[in-house]
Amino acid sequence: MNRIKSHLKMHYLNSKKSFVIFWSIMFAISALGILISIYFKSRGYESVIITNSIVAVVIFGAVSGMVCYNETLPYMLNMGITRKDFIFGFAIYNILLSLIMSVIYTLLSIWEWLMYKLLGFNYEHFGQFFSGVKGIFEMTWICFLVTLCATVLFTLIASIYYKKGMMFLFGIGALIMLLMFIPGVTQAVFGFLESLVLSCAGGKGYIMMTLYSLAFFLLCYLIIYPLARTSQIKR
Amino acid sequence: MKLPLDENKLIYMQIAEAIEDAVISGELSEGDQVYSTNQFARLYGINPATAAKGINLLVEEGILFKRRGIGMFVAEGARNMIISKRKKQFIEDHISKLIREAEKLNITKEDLIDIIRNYEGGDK
Amino acid sequence: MMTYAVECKNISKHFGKTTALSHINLNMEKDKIYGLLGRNGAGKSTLLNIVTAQTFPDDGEVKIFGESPYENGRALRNICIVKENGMFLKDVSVTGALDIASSFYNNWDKKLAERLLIEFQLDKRKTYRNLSLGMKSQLGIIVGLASRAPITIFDEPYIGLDAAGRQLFYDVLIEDYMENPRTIILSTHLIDEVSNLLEDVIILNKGEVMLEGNSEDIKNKAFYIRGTKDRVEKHISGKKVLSKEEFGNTMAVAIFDSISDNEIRAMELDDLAISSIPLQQLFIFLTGGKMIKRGDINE
Repeated sequence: MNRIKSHLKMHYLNSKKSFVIFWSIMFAISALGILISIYFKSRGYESVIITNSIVAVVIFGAVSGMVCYNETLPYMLNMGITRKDFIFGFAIYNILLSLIMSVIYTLLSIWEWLMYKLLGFNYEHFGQFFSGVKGIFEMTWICFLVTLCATVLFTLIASIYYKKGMMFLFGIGALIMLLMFIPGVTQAVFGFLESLVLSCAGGKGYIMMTLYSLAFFLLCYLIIYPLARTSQIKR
Repeated sequence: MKLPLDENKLIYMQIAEAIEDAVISGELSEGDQVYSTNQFARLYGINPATAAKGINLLVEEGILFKRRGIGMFVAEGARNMIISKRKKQFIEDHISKLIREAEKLNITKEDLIDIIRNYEGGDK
Repeated sequence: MMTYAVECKNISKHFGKTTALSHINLNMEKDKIYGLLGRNGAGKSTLLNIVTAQTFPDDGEVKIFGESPYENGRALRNICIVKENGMFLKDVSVTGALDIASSFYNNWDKKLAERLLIEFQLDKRKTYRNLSLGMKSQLGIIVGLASRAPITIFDEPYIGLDAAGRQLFYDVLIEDYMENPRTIILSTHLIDEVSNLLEDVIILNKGEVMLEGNSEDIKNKAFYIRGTKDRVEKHISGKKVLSKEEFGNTMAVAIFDSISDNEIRAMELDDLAISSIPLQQLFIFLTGGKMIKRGDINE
């Protein structure tokens, strides 16, 4: 338990700076958006609403999963941490980061929602995930799942890159592109994705989404683990 | 501060010689405690195992003795022991050389003794 | 049976077609200071990366206090390694780096770390990215010393450090070693600076162990002898000669062989001048060619 705490402290110190910068920008954009709305409203326009997008949060999660893996793995190996402990700590870090990101994102959305409500705008102007107070939990949860999936996917990419190098990664990319050219493959993949998305629709859709995300998370770590176990420090 | 060492000589020999010099000059009297291994290590900036080697050399010769748990001390008669050892060394190193050099220059032993007797520079 | 702090059995490592290490066999005892000496590319860092399980050997095995270090947390917790190019997170401050180190090294000495911060006058709030080369080395040295790890490895840890900074490192190292004996491995070029600190010496050359042993014993086998040519030749017959130079009738040789007291006396009687070869010079003779001199490294 103590060692997990040490791992998390290390990750916290390592990503603190980029985390603070990211959210400063997000809140600044939000404030700017509100000011612009006030300006337009004073000019008589009604529907100018600028809100932050979940996409930014997901991208941050993805980038941090990739960068942190490459920075902290050699650091921890040099500190005498086993690869196994590192991966365990990193998985927990993935989850915690995604959770914190989604909670802050929700708080930001609530703040925006409150501000625009004060300015006299209606719910309908907001994104589909967010429809007032009753959607807060769902929104946070979905944001968490999406961010987590992006983070773990890019952690996987980072682990392949670290073990096999950039050329191997390009090779995989090229292989996927090539497969897409085989007739029927593209349709099959999109068909599969569509069925995934469809099963996530509806009132209880987020339960399905949770299961899919969890499965994806475990699948990724099933590949990351053996890669990390055999990774060496670079010369 | 670190005392300098001669890098052309073995370190532990220099430690042993330093202790002997202190005994001859009277800095250390018989029965006095000698610096510990760690103090030597600190003083010269050397590995304590090397300092211990120098001290042990003098223990083997009977110049120092060990009191368990307290430290190293100068043995009874150490000064005489060192002086007779150094005398022997002096004869081996310097006198034999002196005589051989004198022979080369056709100086007889008697002349040599006279030269030494009349030599002014070395007297106090 | 004695358990060694570090045991290397028949270790080999290749990078592509180049052989970095070939059949390394070494035993390092507990609580001794070792000097791992070798020219650039001799395989020192590769060996240390294998010892700390950061790289895998192609062949052979490593034991840390009798256990394999690969994915073995218990064995790895005995080791702290500090490297030349530093191994720190770029966005973390000095305080943060020490904080992380303190939570991973079991014997961490907070007081020593704080004392060294003051002695080196290192700004705690600066992030690693903003430290100068010398300051980065200082941080590494502080971590290495304060870790109090039973096996502490310094792999050329002094880049950018001036002579005063290096002296401070050596002083604190020997001081703290006496209070808390542990196995220390100093991998270095600056042999003349550290030679007095070393109990044992390991010389690596082209991926092989060229020489190992007690540093005073090694020095006790390395002599310069100078005198008239015929006399020198008479006395050194059968001895291993490292270098020979003649000028006129005078000859100077460097030999690496044991010489008895009687032989020394006989040489002195023949007017030969005998002196020990400093470790740094011996190293140059043994590993051949010109070596980087002190002072050239930091530029």
